[in-house]
Amino acid sequence: MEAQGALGASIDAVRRTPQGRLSVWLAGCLAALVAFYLSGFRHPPGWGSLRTGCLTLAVFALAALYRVRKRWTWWDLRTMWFGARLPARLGGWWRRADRLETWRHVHIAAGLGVMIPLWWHIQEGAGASRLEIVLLAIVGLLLVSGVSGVLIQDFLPHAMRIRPGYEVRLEDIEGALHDLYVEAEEAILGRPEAFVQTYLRDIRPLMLGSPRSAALLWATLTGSDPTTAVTDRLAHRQPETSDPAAWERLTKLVERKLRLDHNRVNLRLSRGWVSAHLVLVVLLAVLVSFHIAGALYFAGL
Amino acid sequence: MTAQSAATAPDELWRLLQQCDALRTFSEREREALLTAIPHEPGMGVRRFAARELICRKGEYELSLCIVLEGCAAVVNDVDPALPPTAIFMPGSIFGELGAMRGRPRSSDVAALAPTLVFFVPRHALKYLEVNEYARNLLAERYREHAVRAMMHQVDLFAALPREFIDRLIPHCRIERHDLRGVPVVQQGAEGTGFYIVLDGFVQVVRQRDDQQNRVLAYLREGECFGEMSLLGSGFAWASVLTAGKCELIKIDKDGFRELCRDFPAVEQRLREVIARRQEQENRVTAELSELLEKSGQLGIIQAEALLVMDLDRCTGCDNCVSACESLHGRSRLIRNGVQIGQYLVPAACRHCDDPKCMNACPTGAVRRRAEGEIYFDYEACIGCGNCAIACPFDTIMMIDTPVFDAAQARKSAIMGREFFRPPAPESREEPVGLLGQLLGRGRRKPLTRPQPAPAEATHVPSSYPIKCDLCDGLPFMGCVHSCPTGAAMRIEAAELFANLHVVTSRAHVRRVEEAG
Ligand code: HEM
Ligand code: SF4
Ligand code: SF4
Repeated sequence: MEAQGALGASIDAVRRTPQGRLSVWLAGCLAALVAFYLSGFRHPPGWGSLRTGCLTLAVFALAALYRVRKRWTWWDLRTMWFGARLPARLGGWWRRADRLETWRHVHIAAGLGVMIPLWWHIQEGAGASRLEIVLLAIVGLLLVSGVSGVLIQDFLPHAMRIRPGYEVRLEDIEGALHDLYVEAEEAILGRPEAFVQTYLRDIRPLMLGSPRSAALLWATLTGSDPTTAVTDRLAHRQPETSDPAAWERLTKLVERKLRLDHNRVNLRLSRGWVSAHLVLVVLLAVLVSFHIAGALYFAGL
Repeated sequence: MTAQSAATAPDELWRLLQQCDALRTFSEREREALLTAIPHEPGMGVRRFAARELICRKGEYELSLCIVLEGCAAVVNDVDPALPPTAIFMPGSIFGELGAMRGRPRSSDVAALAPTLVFFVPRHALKYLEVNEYARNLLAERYREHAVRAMMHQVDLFAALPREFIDRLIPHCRIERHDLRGVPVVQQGAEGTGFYIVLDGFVQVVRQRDDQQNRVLAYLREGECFGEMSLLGSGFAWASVLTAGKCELIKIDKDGFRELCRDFPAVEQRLREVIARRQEQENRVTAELSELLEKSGQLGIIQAEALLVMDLDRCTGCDNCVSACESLHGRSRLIRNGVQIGQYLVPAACRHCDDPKCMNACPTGAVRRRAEGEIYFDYEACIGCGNCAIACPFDTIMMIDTPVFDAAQARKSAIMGREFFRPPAPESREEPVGLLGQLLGRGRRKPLTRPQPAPAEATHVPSSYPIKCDLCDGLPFMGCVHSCPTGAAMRIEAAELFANLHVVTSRAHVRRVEEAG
């Protein structure tokens, strides 16, 4: 893969943004967070629940702003509108700072950084009610989902790519599966009865069915190839009278079909975890508003 | 340029045009066709320039042939305009044939020395001159001379050649044009017949090794040469050279080449260094790399000026790049699928080809190229015929309905706060609003910075417009790259992509040489 390496080096030289792998950034942020915690640094003495609470809320909002930047073109167009009016050098800096890649890094720093004001806020608080305990659990889950998301986003694309013949887009997979099925059905036309029967018994169910997602997910996690067991089994079931090349071709089709199924599970995972992350964010928002309302009601400003 | 269009009566115009040799033998019918085309062909007509005004600027892709009708123009030194001009164009003279006939940027600054009238014939309207055989031959002859001179001037290998020698060399030169890919120009093992310089496009160097395997060694582009090995070495070609698409070559015959080497030993010395480098390249190119190069050439990747590349090791498939493109331009001009080279995906998006088929197919000259190389549409000249969409070999142009197109253009105008994009039909114009209104998204546009077409001229609004990736022309960022959260999407010049493999030189190299020249 010498040529690939050379292409990669050229691309790295051209890449305008300095950021590397997200997991490295995450590790750096986590280390900074732990160091901060161990240093025992406290907020200014005059800061009570209100100030630490507001700061926590502000950092939560900063983290949530990522969604606004990512999904709402209106926002992006306005920032660009503003950038276009700045002097050239400043405008260039503004544009680089506004890249979604930069925002993603800021999001992770904010998502972890929120633990600092939250910690201060908890220390200032007067014991936790059930609501606050659930709230903290949600924050914990959000953190876990965020960290798993970083790992998924960093390592999954590579894991998918090392398997040959995969689809890049989720929406192309259905069509590709259909084409494979049609190809398999055409491959048995005019074959002897025994061959067709073996096909109907051993291959067609594989072509039409879907392997268990859990098994495919396990293959992703362990880095194993989910097709080997099936292709080995098919090699033993080859009908006696058959033309080996035709069976070989059908086996290849099954192999590709399984790879596509695996690819589909991976792509769903790659996008799906964000939904879990988002559900937690919504829950957090609801609980935080209850928490604030309660605090205002019972304690007042 | 503040040139004004000058309305000239047809008879008067014809009288002035008659000063030009190329038009002397025009028949009555050819004359009629030319004169009646003027009001209908965008960019064709007479323009008046004040003394010292620039008529064309070096590096600009303004693809028109210019005929001086009155006054006088001259090639001026773009660094120090006070230096004496290097060529003077009197009434009847032609200039700009390199741009008009080859689609290349202007090679020098030309300015009016006195108040001057110039007749502009854009590239797409050259047919009105070329119908006449005499004019066709004359233009071809001038083109050859000018192309050879410009190339000798641009390539640093020949920078030391004096003008008199180039004059002597021109009769030994021939222009070879090829339209198809894979045409052998030089066959490995065949006797050398000449020395070639690539004038335009790309050629592929392929060598059959002793083990009978073919290896693609490199692609040569504008300003690079080949054929020297057979003439300086064994007499037989060391490798084959095939066209990598449409290309133009200058062929210097054996006698001319011998004269060149005899009179300028330094040139021969440099060529021998080139030979040594090429022979080294053979050891460097593995079977895998050769295959990659072959595939990249076939898919137009080598010829691309600006490739959108996605690193599949980073891409999470979120499709944010596609949505960003869609929200900016009305419909996504990028499909996140295409050719995979190892871990990189080159999606179906315009490649800004070195030899853009879309540009050649446009009947009105609405497909244009900027000095930086990007291909864009001049929507005011577009008639919505869809020829470009049919011509693009990579299927990257799509036609979208005018209302969707207009809405997207208006949105972009609003971001930039100026009428940069095609003005929509007059009725959809809105009053300018203040800063707050614009921030709230209500502002549609500020007053125009360039003259609007009068309503009468704007009556024909095509039902659809072509869109394709124009690198977000006019916007300060590229939507897809800017909105990719993982940094997977990036734009890269093919030469940059292959930089570490030494298989294709950068266009910037040619430009730098041009500037030095
Ligand atoms: C403080 C609380 C947090 C909030 C309110 C929050 C909110 C969000 C939102 C709204 C998105 C956008 C989802 C989308 O539409 O694509 C998102 C994405 C993401 N979050 Fe969080 N998040 C938080 C904490 C974290 C943490 C602690 C991490 C990691 C350690 C993290 C990692 C990510 C990642 C990797 C993405 C996907 C980025 C992308 O590729 O677009 N988040 N988050
Ligand atoms: S539209 Fe097609 S032909 Fe034109 S420059 Fe882009 S890729 Fe090349
Ligand atoms: S935005 Fe980036 S990560 Fe998302 S699909 Fe496009 S290239 Fe891939």
